[in-house]
Amino acid sequence: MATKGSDAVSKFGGVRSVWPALGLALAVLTVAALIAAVYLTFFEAPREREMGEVQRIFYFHVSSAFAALIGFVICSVASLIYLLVQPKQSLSLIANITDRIAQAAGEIGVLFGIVVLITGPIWAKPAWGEYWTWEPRLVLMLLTVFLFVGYVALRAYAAGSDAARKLSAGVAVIGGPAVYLIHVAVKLWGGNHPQVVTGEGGGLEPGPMELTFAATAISVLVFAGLLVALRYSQHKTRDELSNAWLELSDIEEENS
Amino acid sequence: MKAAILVLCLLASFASPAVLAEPTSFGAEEVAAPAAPVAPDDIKGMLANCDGQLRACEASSELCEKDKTGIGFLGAAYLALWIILMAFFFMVRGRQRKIVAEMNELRARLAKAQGGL
Repeated sequence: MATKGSDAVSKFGGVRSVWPALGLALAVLTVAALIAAVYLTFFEAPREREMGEVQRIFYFHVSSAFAALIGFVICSVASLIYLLVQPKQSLSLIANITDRIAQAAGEIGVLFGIVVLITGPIWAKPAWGEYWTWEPRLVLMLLTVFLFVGYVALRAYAAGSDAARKLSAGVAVIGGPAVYLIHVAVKLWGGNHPQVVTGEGGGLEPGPMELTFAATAISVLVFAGLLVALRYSQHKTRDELSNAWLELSDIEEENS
Repeated sequence: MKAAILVLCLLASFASPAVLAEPTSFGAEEVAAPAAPVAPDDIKGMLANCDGQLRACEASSELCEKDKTGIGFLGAAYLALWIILMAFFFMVRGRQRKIVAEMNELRARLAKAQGGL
């Protein structure tokens, strides 16, 4: 038992932070890229000919939508893998990893989903004349974010329970196809959502507009990836701490 | 239940006279080209230049009018964006601190337990 205790001491004694130096360097670079994206958005991208200044919301709104939807897809796929490998004892390591990836990606998806649902209506008011229209893409996005908020809440309040893990993974798997429906909603069912990036319209004007959008999308996606890595690392440490507490209670029981 | 709501919303969107999405594009504001030089006796050319300048002025002032309200919304959107991200950052930092505090407590308890062996 002393060996067990020593292992735990060395494990947690050596860890000062879940942020390694490389992570910190990446974080600094990502923040610099975000600042550059903000600069490009406000100082390099030209004023749009129809909407004027308010169109500058587009750059972070669409990039956040990419981050949210990619987060939901990763959460859904990782949850599916978790459900498939979880019954096999030999694959418990993969099950744990996919479960943590799903949880972290789901949280970050919800974060950027909320950004999209707040910045979208703020843009819609001057562009469409009203904050919200019940068009398919907006409704689907709202329901998908609600679904993943449910997933995150379930995971947060029943973290230790295997049944809750399986149930929440099932919820996330259901949420995956909704992302595809959001993508094709305007094409299939109409609506006044612009299809600038994925549609068959004229797209963005080549030059500063395209450059700004590319820079913003890349920096937001890298930032989202970094947040997923950070949350993954925190969930992993939290799981290891739970195991260490159990080991400690064993040691204390034997001592007494 | 959620699936039923989704189906109802989709059916409602079929039934409603939705504005079909037009192929859209975002382009930069066009800067008015300088008026072409005209001969002093070319009245038609001068009038055409005047019309062109008038149209450019109207378009520009229309855009300025839109910007009057647009700037407020633009500021609100970016403020909301950074508030949400900062709130999340501080929440994650709080959890990080809790984890570190728990690690310290665990380390102390483990050291005490080993001392008791």
